[in-house]
Amino acid sequence: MASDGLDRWIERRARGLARGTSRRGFLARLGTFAVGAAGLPLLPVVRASAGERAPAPDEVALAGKPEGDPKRCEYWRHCAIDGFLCACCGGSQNTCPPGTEMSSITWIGTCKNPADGKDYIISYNDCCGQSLCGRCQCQRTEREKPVYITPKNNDALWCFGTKSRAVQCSVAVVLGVVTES
Amino acid sequence: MIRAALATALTLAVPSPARAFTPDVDYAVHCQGCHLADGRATPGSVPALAGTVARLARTPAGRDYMARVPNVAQAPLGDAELAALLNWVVRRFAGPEAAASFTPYGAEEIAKLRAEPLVDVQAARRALLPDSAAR
Repeated sequence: MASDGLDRWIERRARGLARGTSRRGFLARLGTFAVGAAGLPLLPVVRASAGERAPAPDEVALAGKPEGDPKRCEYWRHCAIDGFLCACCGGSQNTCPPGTEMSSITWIGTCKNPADGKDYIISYNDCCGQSLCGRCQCQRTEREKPVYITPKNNDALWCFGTKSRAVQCSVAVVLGVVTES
Repeated sequence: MIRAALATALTLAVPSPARAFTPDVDYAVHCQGCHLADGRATPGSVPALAGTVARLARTPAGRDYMARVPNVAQAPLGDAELAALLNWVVRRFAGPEAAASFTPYGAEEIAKLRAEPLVDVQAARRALLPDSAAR
């Protein structure tokens, strides 16, 4: 008897579920989710975010100035970069050009953002796997050390742990704000 | 005599730089470029901190090694800042159990250890971590 009641309850729930949903609607939602999920890794913020630990700094006040243009050597994040700027090579200040792989091992420095006067930790990851870009070469050396202090030198190629050691260009990813003790 | 004078000179404390950063910032600027934010290994290039620091922190020899590794001993940081950075690394990568039983480094200890160059790093590492990749 109890079993009959349970059967009827399950049947009602199943019919109700069937009336309230459509296979086409389900497929549409599934498709939306699948496309959205596939697109997530393409968003620049995600691709650059391996070490990103702070909100992006305010750069609005620098719009139109060399300090605010990622394609210029004067861009504020480039204070210790040495290489070709990825923003001129099919990528951006945060992302590698298509067909290249961002090196996880990297040279890290700090730069002052003139928009807010704060110092930020900047990671100059190389983009590896293609020949040198050749556009927008930039060499700046704030707090850089001679090559015999290798971890603080930006002349080195930083394509370590990547499939190819060929370097195409360099990005300038903000890792966070400098805090003093 | 000369040797004693040299030893005295070498053990002179390294003063703090004009601007002192918090240990997490020092880690980002001086260590993270190779050891990454989460301390994982880059096979063939850089050994792991995660899983290794706990083992080193357990023994006096491992404790000495961590402070004498060239890029630690020669970091452009004062003794107090370097002690704070290494203590942060132990807390971050050794796990709660090993970190809780670890006596923090002090500035004087760091001054003494960083003045004793570690000439053969790979041999020292093999002796302490025989089953661990050297890079």
